Amino acid sequence: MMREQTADMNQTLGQSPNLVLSKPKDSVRLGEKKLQEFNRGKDLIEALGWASLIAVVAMFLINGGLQNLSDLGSILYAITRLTALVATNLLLIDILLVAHVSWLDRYYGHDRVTQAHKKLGKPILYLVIAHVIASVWQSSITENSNIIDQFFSMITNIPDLLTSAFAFGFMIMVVVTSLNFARKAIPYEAWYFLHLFAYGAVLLAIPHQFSLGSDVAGKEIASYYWIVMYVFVLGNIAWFRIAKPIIRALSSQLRVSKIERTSSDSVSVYLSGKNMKRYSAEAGQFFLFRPLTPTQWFKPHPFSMSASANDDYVRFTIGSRGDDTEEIQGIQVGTPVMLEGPYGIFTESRRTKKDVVLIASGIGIPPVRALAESMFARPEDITIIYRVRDENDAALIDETRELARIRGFKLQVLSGKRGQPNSWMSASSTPATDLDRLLEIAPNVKESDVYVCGPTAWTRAVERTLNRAGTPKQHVHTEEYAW
Amino acid sequence: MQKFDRIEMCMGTGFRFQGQSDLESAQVDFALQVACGILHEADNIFSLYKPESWLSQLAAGKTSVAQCPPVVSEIWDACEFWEQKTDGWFSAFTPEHTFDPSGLVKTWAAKRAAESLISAGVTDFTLNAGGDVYISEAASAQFDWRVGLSKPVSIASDEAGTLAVIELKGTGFQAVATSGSAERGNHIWNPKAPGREFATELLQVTVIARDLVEADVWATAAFAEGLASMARIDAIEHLEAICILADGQIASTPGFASLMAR
Amino acid sequence: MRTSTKSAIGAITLGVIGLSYNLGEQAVIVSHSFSAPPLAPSTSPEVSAQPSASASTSPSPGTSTTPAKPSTVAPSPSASSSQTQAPVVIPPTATSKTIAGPVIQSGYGTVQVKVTKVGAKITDITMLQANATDGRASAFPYLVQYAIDANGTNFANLSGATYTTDAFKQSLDAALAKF
Repeated sequence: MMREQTADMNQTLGQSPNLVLSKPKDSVRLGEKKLQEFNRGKDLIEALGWASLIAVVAMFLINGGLQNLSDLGSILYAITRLTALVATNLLLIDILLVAHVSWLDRYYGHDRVTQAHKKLGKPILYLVIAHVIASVWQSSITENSNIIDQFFSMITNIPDLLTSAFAFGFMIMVVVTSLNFARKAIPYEAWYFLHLFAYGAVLLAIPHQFSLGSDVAGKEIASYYWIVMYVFVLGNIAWFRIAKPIIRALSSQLRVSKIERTSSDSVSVYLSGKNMKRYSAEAGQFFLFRPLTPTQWFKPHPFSMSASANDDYVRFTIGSRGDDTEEIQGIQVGTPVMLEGPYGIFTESRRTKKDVVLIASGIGIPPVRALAESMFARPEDITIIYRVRDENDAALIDETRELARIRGFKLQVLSGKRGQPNSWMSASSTPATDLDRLLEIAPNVKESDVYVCGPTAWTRAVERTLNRAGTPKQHVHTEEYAW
Repeated sequence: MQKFDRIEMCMGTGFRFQGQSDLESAQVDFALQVACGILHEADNIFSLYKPESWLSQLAAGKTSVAQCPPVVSEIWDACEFWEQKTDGWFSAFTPEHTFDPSGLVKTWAAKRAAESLISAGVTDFTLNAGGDVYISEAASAQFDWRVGLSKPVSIASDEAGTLAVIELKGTGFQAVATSGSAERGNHIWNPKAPGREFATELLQVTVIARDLVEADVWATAAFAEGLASMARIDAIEHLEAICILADGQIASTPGFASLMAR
Repeated sequence: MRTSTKSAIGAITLGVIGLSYNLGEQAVIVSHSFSAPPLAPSTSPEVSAQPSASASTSPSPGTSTTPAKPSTVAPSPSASSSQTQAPVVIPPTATSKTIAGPVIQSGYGTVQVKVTKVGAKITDITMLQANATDGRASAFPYLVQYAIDANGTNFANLSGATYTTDAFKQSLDAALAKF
């Protein structure tokens, strides 16, 4: 997109003479039908995922898996097989979900995908535990030994089972350390490191699946199915998580080119390099930001772009969130940074209405500010609500004001302490509810697309108000900042 | 097409010819007569149960190979050939160091009998030589190409029956031979064991090949060698095998599975 | 997922599951009862307690590599002069179990077998390739599922260990197997 400097800006922008704006989009497709494409895509993806599950169950059934369940031994045998098939299939889907796969992100957005990944964790573990117990138990019945002895006998006598035992151990560790209580207790880096063992679990279990799996070993079709699944999933991971970011990083060699303090607790970081077009992103999207320094390279952070993408730089505005974002604020000019992405569906692609309300709180301003810059709109179409603690010390507030002025948008800054306990707005002199006040600011909110970005609890409060206002759920777009 | 079904008792077992032909029944009968004649001739020459047979005389030291009919020498050479091919697991030399090619003679004779039938114009048949099965190349009935594998118990017992059925049409295989202890107890020894003890690791081995003698020899060799023979046989082209271990478990070459009848 | 898609997927799923189950039913193996090999007293010291039908002493040449040892010449402790006896059959205990078999060590790796029995009937035999060393991965039996003919007559010939004349006649009489 081209940069444009209006004559106006240079005269009136005493504070930020460097505000350059990209040309906003010159058209947008509206209407409900626009979402159909997404729905079709989502349906297809979900149908494929479901089909894979049905396929493995069907394989089990076709092999006579549910036939002749006459005694405990045969029942345990059936359980061993079925749980193995379903668990492995789900596990492959699970790791695909967090592979930062572009085609999943396009339809669901990073948040939904990560949520789904988390939800699958425990069921998979339960299935795997059932599988291990059933197989050892069954074996111990026929060998007439106790389960513990049988377990050790199996893993020491049957080669691929030893590696599977390790896979099992890793799985347990990965899931347990990801439970809520554990996440609170361990630092993020430690948790992340342990979580990588999930890949170890997946890989170490492969040999015994192909050599011992009753529904795989020696069965051509089944073997091909699993090989294809593994190749597909691992291929996606290899590309999206490893190869693509590295290739792009090497070709663009992004470095910090400028740092601007935007408030007492936030800075804007500009990244520049070659071939910036490769990073072309929609306004509202975010990248995983990975400073390539010895202490930070293994800790990527998600940051939204705070300005439209252009050919010269990508800009992020980073505030303190209580984690080591403070450390990032101290980043030096010239530091190489690797970006992964762009991700997110907090974009105009989801807009179906003429009227738009953009609501941001504190450090949730960057994507809102970017959207305000690039969205197609005539004056009055877009209303911006910016909730800040102190309007004299709010990130990007001047830019936002300027943008609103240039593009003719209404900007409502809600500054100061919270009013009522559950309110997402600032204190007001009147006893009006959040809903009333919102309707005053944006009377047409029910028929608008609403984009909300800020801390989780605050976002929930906004969503409640929007619900009461009658805005349909599919027109409310939120960006989670909590992971 | 007229069907024929002839059982000939010979060599202490039964040989059964089943098939069909367009030739006149008298012709077919004659061809069968000739074929059975070959069997009896071999029996007369090689049977160790007939003291007057050439082989008995040879074993008793009363004659030499040179004086015997050429077939004896032929058989002797064949035994040497197969002993080499099976890496010593097939051996015609008994623990008493006598020459006993009887394992080979039955199928060798059966093969020649089948060849004689074919050259007489009877080309569409199967021959079951006491449990070793040969299917002629021109066998027309689908049914003829299906072979049942016996359970490792005597066919006379109450428990007799079929372990599996294989289907050989279009596979290139024409012969199925089985070695086992079900009928005659332990009678196959392990040529490589210190005292040439009886091989007991397996109950039964079935080998599928393109040639009847080949199948029979390998079945004997495999029985002597035991479970490890499966890997050996797998390494040889145009051979498949399945065996039953002494505890009832089953092992086979990987390609065997594709021969199972659907 | 949209409702219409959900319904369609749901219907297809039920169909697939039903069909698969049906196919599975037909894949089940039913065999005749398979008894453990007879444990007759061994006739010679070298033979371990393994199957040995009584040594056949009728004038039948072995098609084996040696005539049965105690056949015609040496006297033997067994009742070798009697006619061929049918092997002693020890009926298996009627337990239903699935044997995820012990692992057999062999020169080329290990073989494991799963045999599923209901009572004395083998209903599923699967062989597993547990491991194969020496680059002989393909030289090893791997998963095989048997389709065993239910009544054992749908074939022209039966291949088995060489039967004696008597056995042959007996079986023909009993019409147990088609030859």
